[in-house]
Amino acid sequence: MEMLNLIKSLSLSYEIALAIGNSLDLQEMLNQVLKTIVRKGGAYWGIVWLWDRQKLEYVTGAGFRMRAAKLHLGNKETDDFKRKAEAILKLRRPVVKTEKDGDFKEFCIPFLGREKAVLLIPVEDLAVVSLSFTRPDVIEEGLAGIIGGIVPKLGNAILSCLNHQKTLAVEKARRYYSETKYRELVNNLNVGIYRSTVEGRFLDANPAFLKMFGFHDFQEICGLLWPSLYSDPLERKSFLNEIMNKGFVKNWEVLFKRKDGDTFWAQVTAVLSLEQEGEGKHIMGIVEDITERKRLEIQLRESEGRYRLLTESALVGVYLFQAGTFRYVNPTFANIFGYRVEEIIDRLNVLELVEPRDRPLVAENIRIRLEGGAEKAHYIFQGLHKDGKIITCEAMGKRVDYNGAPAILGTLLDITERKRAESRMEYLSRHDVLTGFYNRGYFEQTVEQMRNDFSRYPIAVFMCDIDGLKVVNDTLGHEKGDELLKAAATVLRRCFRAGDVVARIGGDEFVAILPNTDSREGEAIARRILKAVDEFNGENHDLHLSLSVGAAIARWPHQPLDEALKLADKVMYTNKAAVESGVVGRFVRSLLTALAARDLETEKHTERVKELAMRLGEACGLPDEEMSILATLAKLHDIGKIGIPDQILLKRSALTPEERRIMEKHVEVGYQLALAMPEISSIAKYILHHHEWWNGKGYPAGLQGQEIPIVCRIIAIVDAYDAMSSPRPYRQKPLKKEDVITELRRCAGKQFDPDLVENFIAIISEDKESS
Amino acid sequence: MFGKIAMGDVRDKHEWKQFMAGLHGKSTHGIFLMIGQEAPFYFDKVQPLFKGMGIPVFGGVFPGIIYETSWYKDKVLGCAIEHPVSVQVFRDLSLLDGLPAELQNADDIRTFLVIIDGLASNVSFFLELLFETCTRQASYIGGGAGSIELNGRPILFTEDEYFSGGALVVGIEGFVSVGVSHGWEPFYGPLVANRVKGNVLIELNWQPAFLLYKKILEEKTGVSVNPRNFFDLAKGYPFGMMRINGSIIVRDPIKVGAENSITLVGEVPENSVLIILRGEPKNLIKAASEAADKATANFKEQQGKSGRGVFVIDCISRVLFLGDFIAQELMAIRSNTPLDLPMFGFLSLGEVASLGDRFLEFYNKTTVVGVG
Repeated sequence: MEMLNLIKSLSLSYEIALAIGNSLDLQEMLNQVLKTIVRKGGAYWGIVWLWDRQKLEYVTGAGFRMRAAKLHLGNKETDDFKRKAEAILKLRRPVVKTEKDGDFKEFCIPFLGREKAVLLIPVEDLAVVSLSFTRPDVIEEGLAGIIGGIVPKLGNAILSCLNHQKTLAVEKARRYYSETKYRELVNNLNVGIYRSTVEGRFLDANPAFLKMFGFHDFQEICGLLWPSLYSDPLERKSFLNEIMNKGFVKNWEVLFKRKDGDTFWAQVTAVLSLEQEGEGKHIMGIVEDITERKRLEIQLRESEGRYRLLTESALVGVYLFQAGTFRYVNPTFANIFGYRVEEIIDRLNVLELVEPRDRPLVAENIRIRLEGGAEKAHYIFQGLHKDGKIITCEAMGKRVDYNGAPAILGTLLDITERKRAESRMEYLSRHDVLTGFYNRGYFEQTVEQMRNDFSRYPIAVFMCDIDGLKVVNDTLGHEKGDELLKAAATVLRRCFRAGDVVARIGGDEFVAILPNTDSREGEAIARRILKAVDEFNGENHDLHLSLSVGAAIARWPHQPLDEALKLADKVMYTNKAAVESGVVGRFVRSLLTALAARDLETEKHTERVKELAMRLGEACGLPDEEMSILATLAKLHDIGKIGIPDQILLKRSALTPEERRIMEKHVEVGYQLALAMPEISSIAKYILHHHEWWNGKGYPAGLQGQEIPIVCRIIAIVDAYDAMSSPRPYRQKPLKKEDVITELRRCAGKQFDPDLVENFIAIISEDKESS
Repeated sequence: MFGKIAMGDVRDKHEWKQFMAGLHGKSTHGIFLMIGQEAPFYFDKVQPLFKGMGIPVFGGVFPGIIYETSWYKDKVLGCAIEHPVSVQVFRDLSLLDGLPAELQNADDIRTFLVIIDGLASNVSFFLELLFETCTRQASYIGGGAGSIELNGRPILFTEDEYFSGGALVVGIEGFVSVGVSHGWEPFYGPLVANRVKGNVLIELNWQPAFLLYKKILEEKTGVSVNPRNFFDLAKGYPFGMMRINGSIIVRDPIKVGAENSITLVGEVPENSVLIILRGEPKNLIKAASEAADKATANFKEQQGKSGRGVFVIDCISRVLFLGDFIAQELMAIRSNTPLDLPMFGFLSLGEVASLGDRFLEFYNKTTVVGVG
């Protein structure tokens, strides 16, 4: 137990002794000592009071509330306490007061409420340590004795610190005196001068410095640190790096912040001073306000930047050359010729970028400009791209003085594309895009030019018209129609000569004007055309080309060109009428032939249907007009099947719903075909409705009963009858007549008009009887 | 001060919802949650629930939780606080340079519940600031959170954040009496901790700390000491710092570090005089019952009644040292506190306890009992 007591006493005095350490900062040293005592001694709080200039002053505290913002010392009670403590100081021995003592609270300052004892220990005649405890029996613990034992050492330490402080003060005063004469100078200088610690705490600053930052006196910046005066505090770090590395900073430009938050540019020159007594390393510097200079610099830079930006990002090429060599080109200029900027400047001669044939032109233009002669605002020349291709350039230039010698500054545009587009536009303004022949406008212009130019006479004119183009467009689509037009153009191109003017002057109409061509030669060409058409059709094209051609010869002065054109047109129409005579034109006939070729409607079937339909129509008492319609309809009702693909039309098995939908389209295709041909357009609507059912379930319109034209109802029955009585793709063997009749009766009232069915059965029964 | 106390296996969101609802009564001002280190706790999942409670929710992950006379690693313990509560969060104690004004002017606070990351640096300075800045006489009670596996996961939380390396100071307007004791006794000394860095003891008596400590233990006990068996042996021979009134602050050595240094739970000031301590289970248990006794008597003396709950903070290294005897220690606390009050708390990495009458120390290997 004794050993333990020894340990605890020794450990306290040992730790206090170590806390005294070698610090020469009085407050720091005393705080360390006090904290050790409070902690090891289990005190509530502790304070060190220093006897200084004939009175006791608070130095440091530790323990409960000693850091609290609310703790204030310096009131009347404190003054009373100080007087009592002074007495203790003179007494030179510790005093213990407990709550049992009547004057306890006078010695226990501050009193925080839980104190039960207070121990006041004088340190020589220098200081008093007051310690409070929340336990009363502190005296028995021997704390006073332990601290008492270390008091002489503590006294010495306090004296050392005080002496050190005094030495510092004297030195400071001496320095101050020696500095005074300089200070006067410094104070009157117009540049800011300052001293600060490396951490940025200000030690000194002249009035110019304070004014620069918007302060009135030095006290205002005492509590500030350098970084707070930087617009960007990180800049301070760079400044410190520089000065710590090199020991000085010269003409450091930085943006500072004034007290009111405004910023200004300054130039700082500073040196790092070595440690001086009591003051570590510090920085001395000069600050100049360079805002105005900076502003001008920035303006200049911005203006330069603006111009550079303007030229560098210009969409036109910009160049400057002198003595034949480029001194500046912008990226656009370089790009136009396929070079990099640095490959041109000071390297290329101007004419190296010009196509050889245009070099004299460009050289002459440059000469005129340099001599200050009349300048052409701009001119066009052929330039030479790095990869050898020719580009069309439009250049503008002006003589300027550059570095004291004449030079040419200008802009340049690559107008290759524009020129190409212009040529194209010119071509398009004269030609028909589809066929490549001249257009109507050019044709009329030519007529105008040739009309009175007798040197061109005799002139042969040809009018050519494509037969059935409208039908092809309407039924097979415009793509097919265009194909037909191109085919006609190909054929005609083969027949005419280089100097002949061939134009497309209407949808299906071409005209050719052949100057200096007599009738003999004209006839030869006409024969050539007919032959070429036949050859084309013989080449197994999908398309059948039919051209109606008319020709005439213009003779000076008896038969002018205009009259010859009219004559040729007339001849062409006469020929066309000859071709399209009959109920249906050549085109329709070719369609029927095509259908027959696909084994859809044999001529025999058509004839049978026509015959039976006419008999039934007659039996129904149809008027002549309807009988005529019925005759045509019997032949053409399935004309629309030309548009149905073979795999559906000729399919041997039952159709899928999708295939059926396509198949049903044939009535609409047939309708469109018929409408396109004036000769048969009157039966178009009957073609459309020949698959309607009596009960309204047919297609395409779902017409019902009498709504369905009678000719359609007749064709429906007759066609079905013949279909069942003949072999079909899906049924090789025809049905027997009785079965057909049974089937017709089964469908009467549903698919077919029941009365007509009975009439029809009567007719075919007669046949049976008669046969 | 304490309201409803509940312990449970709380796993999914639904269970958490029920658990929190069970704790939240009409007069509840805050909820203190103690999570056993092996309990499944996924902060992200429960945070919306905490935020939705409308009152402060705070707590920590501890090596274990105490409920009546047993302790658990994998359960969750909740305690409703029935007095106004204010929670101050200190995210990183190593960056601490002062306390907020709220704490300096907290005149209504009677108890500071202090939950610290037990392995954070700067704990002593933090406690010193707390003691020297707070202006109201209040009790301090709390301890170090963390996992004994020292795995660096976040271990402190409020409804807003989940973090490590810092502390929570919960000011409560209710009173808690505090009893604190450890029962460790001087065994060898004195030794001077002449080189220390925070909680790392680099040199003892100007020799590498571990080599001297090993030499002493081997001489005194005859058992060979090496870094591998260090923790198991050192838990029985901690360091102590003596105060002038004879009380001893324990410092728990937990591992051997670089250059034969010794890492402690809690710091020692450089140049401290240390002694090596040893413990006997019966002394430790006796000390725990004294702490319980003191807290109970103090509460009665201050409040004239017996309180609402017994809050126990017991050092995990006591548990490791005592082994099966820990049940007896908890039983001793139970039998020295009012039996009608629920007993709850946590196993800690370091303890905080003070009636506010002397420097706040970060204790080790100590039992703290609070009645409130």
